[in-house]
Amino acid sequence: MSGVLWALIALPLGAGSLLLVTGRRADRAAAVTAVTTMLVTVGLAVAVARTQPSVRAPFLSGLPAELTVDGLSGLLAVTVAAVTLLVLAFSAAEFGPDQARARFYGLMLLFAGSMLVTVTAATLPVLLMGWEVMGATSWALIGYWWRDSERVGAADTAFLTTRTADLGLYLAAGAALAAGPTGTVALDGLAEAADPWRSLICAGLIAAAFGKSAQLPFSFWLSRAMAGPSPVSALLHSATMVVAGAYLLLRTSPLLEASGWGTHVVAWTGALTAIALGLVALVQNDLKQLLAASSCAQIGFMVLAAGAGGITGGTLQLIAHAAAKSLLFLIAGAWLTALGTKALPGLRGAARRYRVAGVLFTVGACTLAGLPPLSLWATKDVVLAAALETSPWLYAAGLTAAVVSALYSARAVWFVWQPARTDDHGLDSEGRGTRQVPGRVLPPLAVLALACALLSPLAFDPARAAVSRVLGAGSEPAPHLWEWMLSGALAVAAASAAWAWASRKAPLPTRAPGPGGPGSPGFLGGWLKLEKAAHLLLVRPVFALARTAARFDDRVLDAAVRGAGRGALDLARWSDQRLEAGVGGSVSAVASAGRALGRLARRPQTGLLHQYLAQAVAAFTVLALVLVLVK
Amino acid sequence: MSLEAVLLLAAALWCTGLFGALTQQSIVMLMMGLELMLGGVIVAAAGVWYHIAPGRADGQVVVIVAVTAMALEMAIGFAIVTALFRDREVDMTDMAAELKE
Repeated sequence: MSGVLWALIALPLGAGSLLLVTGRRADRAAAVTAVTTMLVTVGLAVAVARTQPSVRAPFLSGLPAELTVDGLSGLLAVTVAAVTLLVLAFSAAEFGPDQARARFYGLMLLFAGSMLVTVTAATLPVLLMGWEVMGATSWALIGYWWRDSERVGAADTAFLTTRTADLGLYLAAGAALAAGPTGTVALDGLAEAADPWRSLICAGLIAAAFGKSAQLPFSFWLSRAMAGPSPVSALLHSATMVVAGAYLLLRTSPLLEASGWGTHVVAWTGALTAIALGLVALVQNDLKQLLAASSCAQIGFMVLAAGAGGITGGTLQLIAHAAAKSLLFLIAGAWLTALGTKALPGLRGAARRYRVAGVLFTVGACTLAGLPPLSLWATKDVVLAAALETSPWLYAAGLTAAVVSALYSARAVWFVWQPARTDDHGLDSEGRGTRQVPGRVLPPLAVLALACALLSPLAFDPARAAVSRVLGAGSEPAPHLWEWMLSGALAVAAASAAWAWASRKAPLPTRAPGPGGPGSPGFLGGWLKLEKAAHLLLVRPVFALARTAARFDDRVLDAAVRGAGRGALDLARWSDQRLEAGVGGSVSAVASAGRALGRLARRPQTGLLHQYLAQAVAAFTVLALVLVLVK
Repeated sequence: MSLEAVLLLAAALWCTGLFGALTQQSIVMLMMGLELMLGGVIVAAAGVWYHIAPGRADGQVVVIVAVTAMALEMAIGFAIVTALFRDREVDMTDMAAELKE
């Protein structure tokens, strides 16, 4: 059966690489290829989820690459493959013939493949590889329209933020290696590491997970990531990339338990993110921004579940949220294509214009609001039951977040069901709309909406117990009847209140958001100013440090090099003037002395015999005198 | 007159001529010194012929050739001196340093 698992990984990765390598020549066949690939992949995912194989291949010495499918991996693999399939089926209508479709589908398949590697990885190195490829392809997908520097900047922000947090995973892998026997890089064995290392592993994993999952304080990248195409948001920011962090925390919950502090940090960060980003979603004036903030908030519930030890609840929440959120993102994309806007005021009456899409959107939004009997209401209560087991405060925080999610969902629904404007005011702010939602895109949306409704029973016994067994989770607390009633009643009340309040007066200025940032520039509307804070606390200091280093380089290192050059030149000049002049002077002096001596020696050589005689006489006289005197 | 006396006379003539040739600055006097030296040679050659091999004619011929050479030499020498003097009023060796026209 191991071949099936290899095929599950290799098929999307191979097909995606093939499409990317072929490039624009494959545009015509790209959509069909991608959808077919994902169809087969869904089949393979179901097969591995049933058989739960495990494979290993030699990778590093003593560290084989291991892929294992257990209950959690199986469920996630099926979720990822199914959502990817539906999103790609939707995308076939989204991308016109003028777009680079091969690149889009190739990247999407690569992304799905790396996500499958991530969820099936049994050891940290393999997880890291999947995690990194996921990050890189997410960057390329968010910046898909690369001619627009705004979008590329958004991709850079998203990539750099997640990538910075990913360093935690490297820290964790290093600490796991340092902790002792090489078996500890297996994800299951992390909890057994000795203590200083265990805390390091835990901290690294938590940082990486928070970064990928856009939890506080990393949430801002998800806001910027909305610059990508809608199908990208539907896949990356609902069902795959952003839940990878939550998956990692669910997968390593024994480690969080063992560290002693990890559970509290994770649970409370999840709860705080759920509340804070829910409030952010409440004041967004842009549908995609609202959905992005809501993604952070809903993933907060999964993170809360991981911290509170509610593996079943977290997993169910993850699957239900994947369905609902990808549905909402896809419909937002369809409306963006049709009406040319994603601003809520511009989308007034969008649901009345396009009834089917409107009804599907309402199903998704009601699921998001946690209205009974839809799936997120049910799964959220399983999460909250685990929270209540941990502490009543955590439960209260979770319930607050649930109320907030009902508020913002209801607000979105209110906007799209308003009477439509007769004029085109507020439309086409992003580009000329096609004014139609093609029928081709509706089947995948309908499937997702069905999933929203049909996943509910999983949260009730006996299905919940079966899921727990599959996940290998221990006996987890089941929600009491009053909890179901309470959360359902609260959601209905909050949604009604939001509806009534919105009908009474326009809650927000109805101007469309300007380019380059969220519409309402308030503290909440601007995503808690997290990006500014990151700029202030991290980006600017880093740039300042870089500039300082550059100045040091210019003024010290370069100056030293240049100084050495100048010094050599000066020395050369000095030696030229002083030493060379001395040497040259002495040589010249010798030469002129030689010349002078030559002149002197020529003077007696007159050619006149009598003068020679006189010289000889003088010389002999001197000789004779010397001889006489010496004797 | 014995051979020694003749050779002594020749040596004295030759030495006197050499002294003149070496010391005199006047071209005329210098040439007279040279003549005295040649004269010494001629006297020595004639004396050696007369005392050692009087029977043979070789010696006489040598003496006559030397006398002829001396006469020719003197004639040419004085011609040059006369030409120099007429041309540039030169009569001393120091003044005849340059011979080019």
